[in-house]
Amino acid sequence: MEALIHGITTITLGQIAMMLIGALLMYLGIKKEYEPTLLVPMGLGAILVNFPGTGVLTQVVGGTKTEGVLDVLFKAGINTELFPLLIFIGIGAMIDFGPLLQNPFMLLFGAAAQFGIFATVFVAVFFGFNIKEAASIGIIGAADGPTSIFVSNQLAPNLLGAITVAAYSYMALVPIIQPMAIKAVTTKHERRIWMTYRAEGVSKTTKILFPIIITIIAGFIAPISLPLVGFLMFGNLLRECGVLDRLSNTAQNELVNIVSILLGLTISVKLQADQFLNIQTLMIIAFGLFAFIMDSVGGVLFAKLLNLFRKEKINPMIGAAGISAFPMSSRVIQKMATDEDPQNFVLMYAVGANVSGQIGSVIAGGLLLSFFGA
Amino acid sequence: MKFDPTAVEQAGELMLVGMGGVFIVLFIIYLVAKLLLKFAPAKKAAK
Repeated sequence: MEALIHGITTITLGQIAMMLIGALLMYLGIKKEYEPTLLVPMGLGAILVNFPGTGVLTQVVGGTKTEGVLDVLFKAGINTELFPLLIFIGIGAMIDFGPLLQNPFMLLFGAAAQFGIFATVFVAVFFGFNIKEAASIGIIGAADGPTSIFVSNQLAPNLLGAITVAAYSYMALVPIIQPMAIKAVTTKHERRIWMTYRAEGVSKTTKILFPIIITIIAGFIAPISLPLVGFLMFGNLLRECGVLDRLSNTAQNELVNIVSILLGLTISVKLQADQFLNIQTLMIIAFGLFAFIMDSVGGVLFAKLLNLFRKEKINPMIGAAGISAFPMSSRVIQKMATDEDPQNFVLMYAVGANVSGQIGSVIAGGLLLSFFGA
Repeated sequence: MKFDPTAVEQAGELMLVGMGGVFIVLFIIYLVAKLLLKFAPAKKAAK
């Protein structure tokens, strides 16, 4: 009889709280459709790992060790960095560098909008995190799930759970966060600046050579970033080479879907009550928001700085599109532009900056790891 | 968790290396993109 009620009598308040958090994540994913691909499996995973003696985690019963399935998957896919990298192949296959190559100047906004990463490192350090933990928290500002997981797993694996929850939640909240941040640092006049679209054609040769050359550049400057950059560009090459459509389709669909299922469930290993419920988690969630805000502010202010020297002004909102949250950010910027002036179409510039942000965030993650010699 | 002044210094270095590095890399990629567009131009549509 005691065995039957053991779970009920030994469960802690913290574990119950984590189950409620898991339920909240599922609610956000299902009802609000905030990044359901990750939040729903993470939510259910949070419930699975917070039962006393749960079989999904490794247990020692009477001197016998029984491996839990989520621990097995964690060792195989997260400790090895395999899952985020496989997802990157799929993401690379989904990216079209065409709009960016039509307006290569947008590349600079992909750099400026990584400002939030490094600004957050300062803030986290002031609040007592060590430099590696602060860098892991800062990488939430990359607005890229696999990059956040890849970097924080190497620099501060104890914070992986909170960082992942923050990163994916804020990516889903870009339509709410970005407009507020942009309006705080721009005037109505600036938001109404017209951008005339002038597209240069892009040859197939250019689209094939581009990912290869980026890989080579990253290999020389930040070789530690090669898993991230290389896998992203490999996915893109599958798409652009024109002779591997089957592999490209598989990468964009089956590969991403299968690995996302496993990744979401497996990350929940870090959502155990004793690891997640602490003041650090609250601080990480707050700093993650700061990172996202400062990304947008950094991009916008860079655009305004450039406008001091340009005759043909850039709509500064495009700077904010340089974050990696693709394609959501570019759509947010276009909506803001047409809200100010229904005739102003900045979408292709915003898409170019947004795609550049994907490159910028991966390079930023690689540079963080290089700095610590990880 | 304790405030460590040397970590602030490291954060400053990281900001320089990180933002500087990202800008340099993306600027190099910008130059590469311009070269690719020049030396491998798109075919103009037939009139």
